[in-house]
Amino acid sequence: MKTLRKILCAEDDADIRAILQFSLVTVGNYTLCMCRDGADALKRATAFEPDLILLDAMMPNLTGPEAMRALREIPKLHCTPIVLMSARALPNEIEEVLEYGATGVILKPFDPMILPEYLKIYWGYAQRNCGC
Amino acid sequence: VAADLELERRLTQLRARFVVGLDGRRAELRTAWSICTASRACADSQERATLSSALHRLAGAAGAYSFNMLSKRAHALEKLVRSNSCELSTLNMEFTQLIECLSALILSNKVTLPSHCYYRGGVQSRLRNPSSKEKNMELIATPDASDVMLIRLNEAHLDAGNVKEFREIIGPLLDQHARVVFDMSQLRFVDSSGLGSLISCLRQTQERRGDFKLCAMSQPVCALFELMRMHRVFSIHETCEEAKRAFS
Repeated sequence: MKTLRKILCAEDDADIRAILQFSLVTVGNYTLCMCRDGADALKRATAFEPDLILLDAMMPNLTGPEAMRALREIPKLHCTPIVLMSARALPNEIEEVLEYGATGVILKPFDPMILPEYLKIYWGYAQRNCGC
Repeated sequence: VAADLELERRLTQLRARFVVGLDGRRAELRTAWSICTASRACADSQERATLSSALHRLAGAAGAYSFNMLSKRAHALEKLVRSNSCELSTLNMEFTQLIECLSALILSNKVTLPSHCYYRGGVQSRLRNPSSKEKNMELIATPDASDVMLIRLNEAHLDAGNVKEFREIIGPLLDQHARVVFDMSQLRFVDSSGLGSLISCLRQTQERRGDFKLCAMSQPVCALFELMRMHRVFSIHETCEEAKRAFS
């Protein structure tokens, strides 16, 4: 079975990018492509070919859900699991992004020591349920 | 242990760097606030969007670095600014409190880590930290004849504010018991870090061919688990008895 190695992540706040880098590279030992917003993620995703994409829900230029819809249009990334990070915990909003095709939602604030575990679970879930 | 200490050290460095950067965030907020309140009681949507975006980023970043009070204050004010239905005097009060909270952190410029917790074993143990005067988390652990440990968490919340304490208390218990039923009847709210800690418990028990079964979930927690698809990860039961029977 393929393992989770490459993560593409988009987050607009520099401090959160720093803690995400710590969490995903230092704790999780993943190869990371860090993007500044949704548009940047869209630009770099095809060349990087991530195993999983992690997007902040609220970003300038392209929001997380907008970027997710655009990324889903790229044939290479059609089946790549996409996880959104959101500070909003209202069930209907979470349900909405899941309906847009997100594999899962990480509620902010996240624990940087645990985030890699979460992504592994979502990755496993996507692998079991992917029809590609 | 050395690797964990190194991670902790690096995290502490990152937290310290975040605190140093708070000065800039405070200045950004003050500017956005002045412009917003100057435009007829925050009525201009563009100015409100700029202010709420700064608050949103602060709330997210402070939370990720475990400055929970700051995160909650920023998040609360962000919601008020977004709703645009709040009196300016209320907004003013909330903004002043947020700035005070920020300023206190900038002044102290210290990063304090939670104290270590103490626990003791026994037939039925109440696990808490006796050295602190503050109210601490309480876990009640009850083993039964079939080698299943029933653990009840006497807290309404399992979130970023107490998850570290939870992990410190439950970790040693799971080292000794791989077959665990976790009674969630007292819990009313679990956030992502709380969910993460429960996943760690599950992994810890499964690594030893056991399981970490959940039971007696309240409706809001159950709804969150279903939305996050965690009900497919955990074995979840309506009652503790049912969860215990599932081990046999």
